[in-house]
Amino acid sequence: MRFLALVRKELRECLPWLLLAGLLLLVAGAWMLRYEAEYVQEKLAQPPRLAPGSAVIHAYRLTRPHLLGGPAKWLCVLAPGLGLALGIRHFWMPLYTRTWSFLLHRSVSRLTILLAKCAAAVAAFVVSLGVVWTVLYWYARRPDVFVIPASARELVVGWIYIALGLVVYLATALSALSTARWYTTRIFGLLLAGLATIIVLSQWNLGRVAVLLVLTLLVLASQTVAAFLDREF
Amino acid sequence: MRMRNPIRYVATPARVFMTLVVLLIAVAICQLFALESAQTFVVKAPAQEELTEEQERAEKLRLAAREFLPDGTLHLVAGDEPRDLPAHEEVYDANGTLLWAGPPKQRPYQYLPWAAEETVLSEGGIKSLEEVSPGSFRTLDLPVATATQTREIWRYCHRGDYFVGYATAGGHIGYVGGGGFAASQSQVRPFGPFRRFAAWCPTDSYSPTLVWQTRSRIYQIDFEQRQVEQLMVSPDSELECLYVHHWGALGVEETEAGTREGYRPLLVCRSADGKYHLLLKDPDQKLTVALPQEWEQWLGNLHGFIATAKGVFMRRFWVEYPAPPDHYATRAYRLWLDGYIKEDRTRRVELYRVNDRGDIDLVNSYSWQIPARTLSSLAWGRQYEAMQRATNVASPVFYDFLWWLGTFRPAVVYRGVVGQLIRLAEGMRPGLSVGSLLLTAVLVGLTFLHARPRRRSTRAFVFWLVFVGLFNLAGFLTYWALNHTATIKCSSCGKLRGLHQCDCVRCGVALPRPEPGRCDLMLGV
Repeated sequence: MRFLALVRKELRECLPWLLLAGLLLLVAGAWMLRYEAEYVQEKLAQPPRLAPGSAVIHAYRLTRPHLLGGPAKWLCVLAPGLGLALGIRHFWMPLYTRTWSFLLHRSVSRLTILLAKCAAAVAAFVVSLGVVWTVLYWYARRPDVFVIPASARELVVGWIYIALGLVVYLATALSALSTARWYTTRIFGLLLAGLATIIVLSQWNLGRVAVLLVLTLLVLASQTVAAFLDREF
Repeated sequence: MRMRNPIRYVATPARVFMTLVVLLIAVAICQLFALESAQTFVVKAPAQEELTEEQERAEKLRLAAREFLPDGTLHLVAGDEPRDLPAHEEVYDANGTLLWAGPPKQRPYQYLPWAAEETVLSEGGIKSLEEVSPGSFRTLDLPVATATQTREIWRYCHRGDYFVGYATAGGHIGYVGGGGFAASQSQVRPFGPFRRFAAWCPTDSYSPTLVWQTRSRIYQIDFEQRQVEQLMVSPDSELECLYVHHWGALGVEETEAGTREGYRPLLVCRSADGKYHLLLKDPDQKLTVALPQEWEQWLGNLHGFIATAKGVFMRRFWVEYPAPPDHYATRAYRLWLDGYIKEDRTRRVELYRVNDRGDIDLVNSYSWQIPARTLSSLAWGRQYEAMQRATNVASPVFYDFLWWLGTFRPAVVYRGVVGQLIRLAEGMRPGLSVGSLLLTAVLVGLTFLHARPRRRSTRAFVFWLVFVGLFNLAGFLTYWALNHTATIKCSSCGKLRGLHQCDCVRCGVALPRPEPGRCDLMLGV
């Protein structure tokens, strides 16, 4: 019960960010899909820009973005953005408002407090971005709307961006909990998250992406837990 | 006694790993910046030597293109800058006598063209379409169209390795795979591991036809007719590269448009066993050319093929210099490279006729000298290498290990950002130089001096010494970032001791207690 109360409290605190990210993705994604539906039908009906009797030189003549390509670009920015906002709200703001002591002196363990914060963050990602992304995918799968329905990989790629948001959240938490100076090891968590994001985005093998994400989450989460349990507020 | 939190067993190595990764990249960036700065401001590019008229002419002939006439006669074609689109050309015979000069379009000779590589997407390209990045995440769609509208779209399915057809009016058409058209997913046969494809539109169609190369097969796919033709099968050896000439609209240069007369459509593929497989049309013919084994011992060996109405020809470029060792990560390769730069080489071009059995007969050959690198350019190279060695002093020995490991690593690891990072690390390896070993020794010494009074266990102390030895500057910075604790002078032995442990590492005396003050409320705690 105490744990759930803490989760509710954390969710209440990050509700504005959660709603903002979810609404932005929903509005932008729905508008893009609607536009894409009309554009794709129109484009598909047009003849291709290929001249008879000539070789196809450029690959872009035969390739096109995925149906959810436009919303995916938004999600790729929104997920790390939400991770940063939640990380700052959960771990940085109490430092400035000096409310850590009130939270830590409740009759719950430090680990419960940290788990409540992380559970709230995961729930925020799932509710605001995950559910919206899945709804967009479900719409893009409808054969009566789109000639070529969205592939399952598009759904998976969206969830990878959401997992990257979680990586940024943990990195922000780690940087906030560190007592080192900014120009020394304090910023290393965020740098690692940036590096992991670049490497993950350049991968095509989903198995390798999963390994990279698990490794990065493990590296950041273990340090965040250790830092939170040891730190004097 | 306070229990050690079990999460620390994971968190501590994770912290070391994270700090090391970030610092390795930071050090590498600083090294690259230093090298680039040195290259810009310190290393002087070699001055261009003034050439005499005779030397200029010899240089022009040396750099000229070697072209063969259909009867086997060789010409040297020298063009002005830019070399790929010259405004003026000079044609010489094999003895260096000027035969003709003027604009390339008015040239009175028609040389043999050669089958060229034409690829729309290669293996790497098709994988990049699958990248997670939203910028490159795309689909491969082949349209079946008329002049006014697109009727069908055939989308490549990466997972299944086949095409799925959709009608633009709505509805699912079927599948196209290695076995041809299939109405259901259970009937479709995958093409096999993809290598590359080329595409063209036939003269009477707006729908592209594909030449689709897999690891062991080459297919021709006509989506309009929903037909898949298997052009070539190589069950024993992997197919490597694909060259075409007048195959549909593939392999036709702009300058040869309309000159198809006299040439036969040709598709050439090389297999991993070194054989060339030729597929010809008008009439249909298949040839396999097995080249002499002894050719592999020489450097170069660039082969080109062309099929005319009078016969099939092969051109071979090679250098009369031994081929390099198999892998560059060896001392033998370094020695080979040194010799190659410093010695004069003879380069050769040969024209062969390929008979109906796939055997080759020499028609004509020509050779010329490639001079060794000049002293000034060698000096420039040495200066640059010295700068590189100087900046690589800070690189970890670990990079040398990576480089050595390269001998056993498949090339697939080199792909993507991780592959680029590995290549960068290999390029920055210290190569067990004296400077690098000296710096490592100094840093290990500093670590020893710093860690000794602060040590809490011998195991951790030894670990950090080995760690700094392996990762050099980045390792030392990692050690420093994670172990910089304050020290005090021991009240008993007078030597430095860290504040993280209760007992002095030298004399074993506990930390001194502060003198109790008069206002202390709790005594004896």
